[in-house]
Amino acid sequence: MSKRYGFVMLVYRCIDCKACQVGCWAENEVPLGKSRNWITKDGPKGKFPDLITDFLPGNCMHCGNAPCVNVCPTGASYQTEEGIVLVNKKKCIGCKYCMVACPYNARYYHPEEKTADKCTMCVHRLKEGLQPACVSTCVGGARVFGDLNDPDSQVSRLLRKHRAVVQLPQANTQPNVYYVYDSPVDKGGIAP
Amino acid sequence: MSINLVSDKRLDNIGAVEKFRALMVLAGWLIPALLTAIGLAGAVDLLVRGEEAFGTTDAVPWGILIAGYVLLAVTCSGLCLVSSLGHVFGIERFEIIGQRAIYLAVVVLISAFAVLAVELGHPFRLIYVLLSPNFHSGIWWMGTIYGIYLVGLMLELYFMLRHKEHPARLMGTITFILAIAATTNLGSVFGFVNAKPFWYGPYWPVYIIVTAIMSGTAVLIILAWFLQRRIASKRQQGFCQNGSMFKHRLKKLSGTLSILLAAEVGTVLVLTFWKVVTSLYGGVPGQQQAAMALLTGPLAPTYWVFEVGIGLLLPLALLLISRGKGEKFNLAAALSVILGMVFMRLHMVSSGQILYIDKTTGMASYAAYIPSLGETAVIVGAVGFILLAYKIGERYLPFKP
Ligand code: SF4
Ligand code: SF4
Repeated sequence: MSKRYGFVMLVYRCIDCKACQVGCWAENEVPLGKSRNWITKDGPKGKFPDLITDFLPGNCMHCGNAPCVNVCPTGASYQTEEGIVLVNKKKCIGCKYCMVACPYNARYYHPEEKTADKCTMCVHRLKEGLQPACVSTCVGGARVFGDLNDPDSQVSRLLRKHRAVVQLPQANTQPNVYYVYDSPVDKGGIAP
Repeated sequence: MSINLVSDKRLDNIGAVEKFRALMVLAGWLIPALLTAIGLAGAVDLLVRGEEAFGTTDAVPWGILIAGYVLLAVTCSGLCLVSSLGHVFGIERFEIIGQRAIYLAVVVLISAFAVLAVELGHPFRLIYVLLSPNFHSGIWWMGTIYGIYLVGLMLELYFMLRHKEHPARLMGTITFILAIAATTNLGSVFGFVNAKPFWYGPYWPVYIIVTAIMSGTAVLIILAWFLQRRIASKRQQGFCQNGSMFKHRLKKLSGTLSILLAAEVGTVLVLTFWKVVTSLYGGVPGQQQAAMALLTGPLAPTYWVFEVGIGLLLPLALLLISRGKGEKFNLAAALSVILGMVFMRLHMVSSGQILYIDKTTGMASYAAYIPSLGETAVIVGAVGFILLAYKIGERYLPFKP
């Protein structure tokens, strides 16, 4: 079976430090004012004074059923066998249909290249056996990356152990980015 | 371009009225040329400065240039569909305007493609639409069919001008079908977008074909008006023998067109009403906010004044008063439909994108979009180009009558 890359975001570990964002900016020379990844604030929730705000690290969901790939007129947006959704800059005509079609607003317009642009899972680093830059720089260890088809990978083990959710399940995009809210520490366990 | 004015010597001898007429002829050329130049300047600005010259953002990727493209492409289809009542379906009354309508359709579609090319920023990469097609994509179908359609229209025009009746009718039938296919596919570009609830579904393909016919009819009414004046002035100069007959036929055509227009405006009014009501009370997430943006939100002023007021209610009132007979009323109604249509297209494109969920706060808000100077200039230029190209055609092509 081929690989299927994905992320598991451990929400309870994210402290909103934005190291992942900075790491990505530097690694991928993201144009000024644009970003391939982000932290969403979920909250404050609960009853005063027991308030909590969750931080959700995010980036392109590398959807299994990707609307951006379906709508792209030239096939510039495509999905690799490993499930990575990429943009072939040569073929992209800059119509922005993919940006309009992405329910997660994961794409931006590259002002110099005049093409759509987005998270690549740092595919160039993966080829060298490295982790994506955002994962390597994540201070809290909130971003976990790996092969979802490999039962022994950390992501697979996490998904077996915890209840995970995806964002906007009603959009039927089958994201490959999962979110784990409950801290095992809360349940008396040890963080993975 | 050669501007063939009356020679200087004669100008001295003729009266002030003639001078005024000569001035008007000059202005008739200069104004469209000026508007086209403004459009070219805007296009250069957008192409050179790129994203920063646009009013569009990552939150609102599609702006007035997409709206303008839709407006023009769809008007082209409308011109073709309505005028084919004459040269395809053989309704004699419509035949008188066929050649000019198809020429105008070609010109309008070329300007639509020009606007799109500026929006895309690098027209050469368009080759990948052919080299590497994605058959799942609404834009691929729309672009391809409109491309074939343009070639078909050109052939049709050629046969019509050469008075080759059979091939002209055959091409007319083909372009009639292509016009419907291209337009509904353009609607489907919006209808396919699951991520934008206000767009998703079959409403827009239907709406767009009805509004296509409406804008086509309105343009033909304006065309019929200009032709009558042209024939009148030619007759004065003694150039046109059958003038009074043509005038009479054009007048009758304009009456028929205005009755058609009344029916179309009424239909669009009904569609518009139910779109808003179902969005408000249908309970589909995101639709209600988009409808509220039109009714009371940031789009409300232009929605009520231009789209509903000037675009639908005013022309309907004018057409009901005129009942096909008052030509000035018909012309006013047609002009106000076209003006309303500009905003209709802008709202169609903006309303789908207006609801924006901020990625960091998770909060929903209305995304602002204000067309930039360059973008607006390109739309102005497209209008100028159409007027200019039409005048050139009127002068050099062997139109009958
Ligand atoms: S998150 Fe958006 S850009 Fe990424 S794969 Fe899904 S639809 Fe495409
Ligand atoms: S902007 Fe580029 S990648 Fe996106 S849909 Fe258009 S051609 Fe495809």
